[in-house]
Amino acid sequence: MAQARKAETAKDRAETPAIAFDSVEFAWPGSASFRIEIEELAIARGDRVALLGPSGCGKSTFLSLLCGVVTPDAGDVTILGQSLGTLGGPARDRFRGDHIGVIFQLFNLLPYATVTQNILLPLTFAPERRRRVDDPALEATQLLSALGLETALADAPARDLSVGQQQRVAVARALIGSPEIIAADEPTSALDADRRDHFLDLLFAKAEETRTTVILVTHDPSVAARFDRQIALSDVARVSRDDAGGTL
Amino acid sequence: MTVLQLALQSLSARLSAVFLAILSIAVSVALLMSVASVRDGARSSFANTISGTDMVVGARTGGVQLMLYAVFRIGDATNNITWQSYQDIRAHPAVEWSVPLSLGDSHRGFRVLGTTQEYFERYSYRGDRALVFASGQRFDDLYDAVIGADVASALGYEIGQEIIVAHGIGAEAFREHDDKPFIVAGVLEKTGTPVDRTVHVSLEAIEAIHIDWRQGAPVPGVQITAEETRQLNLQPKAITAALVGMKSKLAVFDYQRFVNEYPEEPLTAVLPGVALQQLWRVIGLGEVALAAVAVLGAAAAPPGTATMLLATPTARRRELAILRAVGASPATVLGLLIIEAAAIALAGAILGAALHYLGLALAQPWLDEAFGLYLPITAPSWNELGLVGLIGLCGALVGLLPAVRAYRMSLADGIAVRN
Repeated sequence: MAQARKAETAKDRAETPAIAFDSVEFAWPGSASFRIEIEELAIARGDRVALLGPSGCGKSTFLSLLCGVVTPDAGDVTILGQSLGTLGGPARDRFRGDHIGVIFQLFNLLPYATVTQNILLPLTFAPERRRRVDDPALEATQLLSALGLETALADAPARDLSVGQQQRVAVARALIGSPEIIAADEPTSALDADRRDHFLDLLFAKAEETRTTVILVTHDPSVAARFDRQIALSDVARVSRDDAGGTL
Repeated sequence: MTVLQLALQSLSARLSAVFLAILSIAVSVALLMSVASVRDGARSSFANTISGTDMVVGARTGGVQLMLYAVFRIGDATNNITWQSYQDIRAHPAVEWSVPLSLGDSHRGFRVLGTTQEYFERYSYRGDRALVFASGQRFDDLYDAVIGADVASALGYEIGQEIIVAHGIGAEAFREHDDKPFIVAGVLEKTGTPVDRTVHVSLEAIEAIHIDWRQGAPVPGVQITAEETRQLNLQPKAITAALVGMKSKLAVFDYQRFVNEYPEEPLTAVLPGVALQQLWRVIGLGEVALAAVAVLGAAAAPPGTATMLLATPTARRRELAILRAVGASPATVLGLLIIEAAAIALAGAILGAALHYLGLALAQPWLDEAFGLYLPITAPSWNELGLVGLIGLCGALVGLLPAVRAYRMSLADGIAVRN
């Protein structure tokens, strides 16, 4: 039985990519000036991909599409075989919670909540990830130590942590409940070179354990160089803007 | 963490701004409740100006006018009641007691009331409160006077002060009964009723100071000294009005008909409670003004609340972006914001009610003493609760404005806050 499910999962992995963009067109509502088109992009499960591009090239928009916060005007975004366009708003939110761990550039944590509360936050909104965690508090502590943070920090309010510590807590939060994909938006831009490397080492080590797909957007080629695969966003996406004063 | 926990934690993280918002709602709630309390207190103080008296009787006139001159000492009687008629109406078998009132003179702007000693027993206000002497005692001697609390404080009078009564009221009161001065024998405690502004003397004293007067002027060439007057018959020929107590409340309407149809002289009997209500309808306009001021004051609070909550949008946007990223739906985020706004409004309403009752408890003795305004501490009425609920609702709605703004921004932000 377990064998059969494992086989099926393996088959799924082989057949459906983690992330697939197909003929996607999108413009932010209310700002017709900015437009992004992505003809085709596929990222296999377990891949570690850096999406490289200068700021303003549509990286945030790409992530918003990937996470299903917005839906394409045309075309389709398929995550783990699930077309996001066919899901309603709340279902998309649930899907994101269950399958994607998101790491921002900065301000990942609720400053007033404790480190542990921040790590466990996704479990409130993602029932599938909650099911995969037997003992949330224990899991949070294990993640903390795996990411090189003192477990004494567990009950400290997030605002008391340094930026580097906060970013590692954000990784712990992205990893808890083992989502299939981690999507990160310039998570190392606030860190110096040493800590940046250390951060990426930890991220990769944990992702390796759980065979998690990692997609990271960055403008920094030295960060991108550490990934299995680098994609220049300009190669896959066509961005047009009529007006230089666009919001991106 | 549940959404409720999140909301409360987020609120406590912004404690100073949130506290100011709560305080601003609390102040308007307290303001409205206090104004309602003062209004009710003023109304009931007014309605309780005179109690224990079943009937006020005077010459034929309107009920309101009779109350005005007999109880509030405002305006003049059109006519008097002859002593004979008074004897007849007090002799009615349903009458338990009666106190005659004789008005028409004044002392430095305060009315002089001629009455009997029984007045101090029978006059009661606010339920069964009786007149109490702050110092001295009832008038005993013919030329003794008992003054109300306002008279004493306004003119600085104490026991033993000599006072001269002027003939007439207001601008006409230029002729003085200076040949027969009075001595202050007693000072009454503050009551918050017209008694405070009255100089009380005996009915005989009123007769005495007018003994050598005819038609509002001294009779030329006739002068009877204060001491000579003591020897004369000082039975009054007329009184202005009378307070009447009935043996049974049931007899009130029979007695009223008896007085109104008294054949010898046109008379009017009114029930004080009814007349006071009619009178309140006239002067109750102030109530509306008071309420309007309170509503204006209260209306200032919700925009203030919104301003304070608007002051932290960036942090909020980040917070909402995090929640969205971990899978919270827009409905969840909006629910969070609604819980916050409602919590602020609720806390404001409760704090406001607490402030109101605390203030009431502290100010109650002082208001009673200084103004005779008695504000009972009662549980909030449904009206008040409705009002508080309304403010709470307004607060919540206004609190929603910044919330919805933050929420819309979080949608427009996409997955990350765009800086």
